[in-house]
Amino acid sequence: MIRLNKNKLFLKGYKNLIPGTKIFDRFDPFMIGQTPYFFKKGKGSYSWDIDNNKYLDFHMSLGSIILGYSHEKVNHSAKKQLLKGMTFSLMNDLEIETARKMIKMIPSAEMVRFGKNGSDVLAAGVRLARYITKRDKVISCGWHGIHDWSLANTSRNYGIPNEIKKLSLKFEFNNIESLHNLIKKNKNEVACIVMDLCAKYYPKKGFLNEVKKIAKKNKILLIFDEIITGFRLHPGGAQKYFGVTPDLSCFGKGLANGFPLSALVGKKRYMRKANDLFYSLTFAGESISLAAGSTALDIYNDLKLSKELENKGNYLINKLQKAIDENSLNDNIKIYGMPCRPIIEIKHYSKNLSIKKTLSLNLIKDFAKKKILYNGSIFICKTHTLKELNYMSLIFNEVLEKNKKYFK
Amino acid sequence: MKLEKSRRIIRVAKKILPGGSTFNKTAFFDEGKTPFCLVKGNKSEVTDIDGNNYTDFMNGLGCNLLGYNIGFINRAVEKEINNGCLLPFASDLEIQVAKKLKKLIPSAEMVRFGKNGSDVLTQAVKLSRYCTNKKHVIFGGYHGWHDWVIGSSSRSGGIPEAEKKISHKFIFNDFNSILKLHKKLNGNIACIVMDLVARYYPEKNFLKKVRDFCSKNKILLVFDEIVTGFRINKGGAQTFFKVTPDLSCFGKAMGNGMPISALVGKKQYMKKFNDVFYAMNFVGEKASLAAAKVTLDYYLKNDVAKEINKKGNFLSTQLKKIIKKYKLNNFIQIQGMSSRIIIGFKNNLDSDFLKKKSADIDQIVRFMIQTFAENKILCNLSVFINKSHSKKDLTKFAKIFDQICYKISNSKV
Repeated sequence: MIRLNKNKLFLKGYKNLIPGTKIFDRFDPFMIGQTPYFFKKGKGSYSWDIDNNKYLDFHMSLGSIILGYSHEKVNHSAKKQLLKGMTFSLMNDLEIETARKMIKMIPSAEMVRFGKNGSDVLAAGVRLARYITKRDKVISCGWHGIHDWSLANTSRNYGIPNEIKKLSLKFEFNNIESLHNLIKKNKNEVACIVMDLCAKYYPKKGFLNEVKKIAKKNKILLIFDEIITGFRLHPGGAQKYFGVTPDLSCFGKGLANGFPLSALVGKKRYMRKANDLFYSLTFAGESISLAAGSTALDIYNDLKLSKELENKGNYLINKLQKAIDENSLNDNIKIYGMPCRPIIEIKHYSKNLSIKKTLSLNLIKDFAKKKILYNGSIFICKTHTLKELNYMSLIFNEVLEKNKKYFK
Repeated sequence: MKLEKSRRIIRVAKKILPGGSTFNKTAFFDEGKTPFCLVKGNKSEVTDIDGNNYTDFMNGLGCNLLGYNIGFINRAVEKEINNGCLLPFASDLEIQVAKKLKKLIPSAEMVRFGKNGSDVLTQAVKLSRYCTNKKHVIFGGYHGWHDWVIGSSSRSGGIPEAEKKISHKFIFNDFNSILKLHKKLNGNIACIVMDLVARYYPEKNFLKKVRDFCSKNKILLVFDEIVTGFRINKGGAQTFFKVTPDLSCFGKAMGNGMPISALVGKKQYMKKFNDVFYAMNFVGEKASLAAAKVTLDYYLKNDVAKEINKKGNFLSTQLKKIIKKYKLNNFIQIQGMSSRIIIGFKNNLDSDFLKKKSADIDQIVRFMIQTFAENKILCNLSVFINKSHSKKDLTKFAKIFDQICYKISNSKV
């Protein structure tokens, strides 16, 4: 059992001061106080909550950690920079150092512009595409941050004016027809296609090339969202892994292994135009995150790392699948996504959403009781050992056995 | 002054960073006559890549209110780096920082964090649109880089027509300009976003009129305190002018150089974030929260705002005297507030004065910035005072300004 006294106590104060924590439906249990919500420390594969419970962590700050929490070398660079200063009045040479490394690693990167969150640089990418094409509409598939253009075509589009919603269109991943139709219907109106390359599914053979062909033919800019895939799937991102180079692409999350840094990269002929636009943030050049990013990139620039993450992920997926088989839950639980980030999805025959929800929550709760931090999406990091993965699959089996009855 | 490395960096930077830097504020600093790249800061002094030291009056565009390399802030940041700066979900640091903001700022009942000022200002607009079920936004100044602000600027490339049609600029201190927009838009206004002192102080009753107008017409009043916050007064401009907004935004000096910003406001509106979606990866990043915690604590215990206003007052009095001495009153004007002095120009930019000099305003600005730099002062005419500035720093600034004005008035530009 875990004691969560402090977690429960802090939760009350938190809710009175900081609104909006409810909006991740699947995080409800973390709010109910049955699972931890407040964390104080992380090291390698482990995190500690405020009640001092230690968890084997597969959350990895929603994938912002690739090398494990509090990585020595990355921290060392950050602390060294801390003594020199945080945010300067003019540029800092770390901008150049970090940009150069990205340019070497990422096929589409000829020029670089930094931001803090993925949302910053995705919105900057969309603006640049609108400027270059002189068109207003955006076609996307997947999740691309919190700005109006991106939330407009989701169920979370509160507070976004209708005329803005109309500019954002959605196509279906791996369905080239859906893209064709949208472009036909909005001829000469589409500025860019924004997509991630491997969220739940791998791209079908030829799909990405087909997207690129359509984009080029219609003079639409192709933007890859590599916030999750970047450095995780391959040092050069998913674009290198799948061999398709976009016009612009966006990196964030793991870029500085937990330090706040994101980047818009792209072809020179487009990126140059960014200088006509206005994209300027006080903290975009903040140097501690850049120092961390520069060091993290050195570590990422090694095929062995992404191979290692893939191998570990495959190892875990096999074990998890075996547990699903053994419990005869193949129709109910499916594993999607890349090996380095398996997504576990629960399907329930009952149309009763609350049962499905209860079940998801049960899993999260039961994992927490066994000191594993899990929320459906599993992020593999460098420090996860085979022993830890074995433990994960062992508990997975136990949790499934315990909850099997709810599926029937 | 050696600037070889700076010059080399300019060439390299322009090849790989659009505009040569992440900031859009490199104008006149990329001509090889000033430093371009800074590598170190200590208190009020910065060092460029060639090893030259400057007294810094730009202060990271206003975020280094206490100066650079402040021991107690560094220690707080280092501790969280060691603990892991980004962890799952939340940390109690968020609660602690929120509580301190609540103590400092009258309108702060609830808090959401961001990284840059732009983040939280844009969320304030979205929240207002949702709370009021209205769509137009009217705003007074510069409020970040997002579509709703930049649409009406001279660099509005890439912003959809639809957005330009629903965001509008009013004229600061001109209440009629607000009334006119209200009429034109049939009252369909979600919020008024404004800063309280940019170049000018609000005229008597202007703020009160805006406040009453908003309340009467169910428009949310959003104060942009990114620059004024903790600077004009520890409780922000809203405390200084005694006007309470519905929502307000803080950033810059909040973490004294670490990336953090906050949207604060009344509970009845803020709690709507349970519907309005706002979640970003790095908003809970703890190194910045820790910096904010100790920085705000320092603001609570020490009246830093009072101290820097006193320093600024001293400086602006000197500058005004110098302008008068060289009879430049009709050309150069000291604007802004004591803690952030703007060396501005009177509106008649194509004035007889410039014609006589056969110079344009860019030449004058360039001359000023470069002369300051030659004399080891970093200044882009927006003068941010910080706590580390000594009387000697301020006197030196005034002395160089005197030389500049002398040359301008004697046609030596």
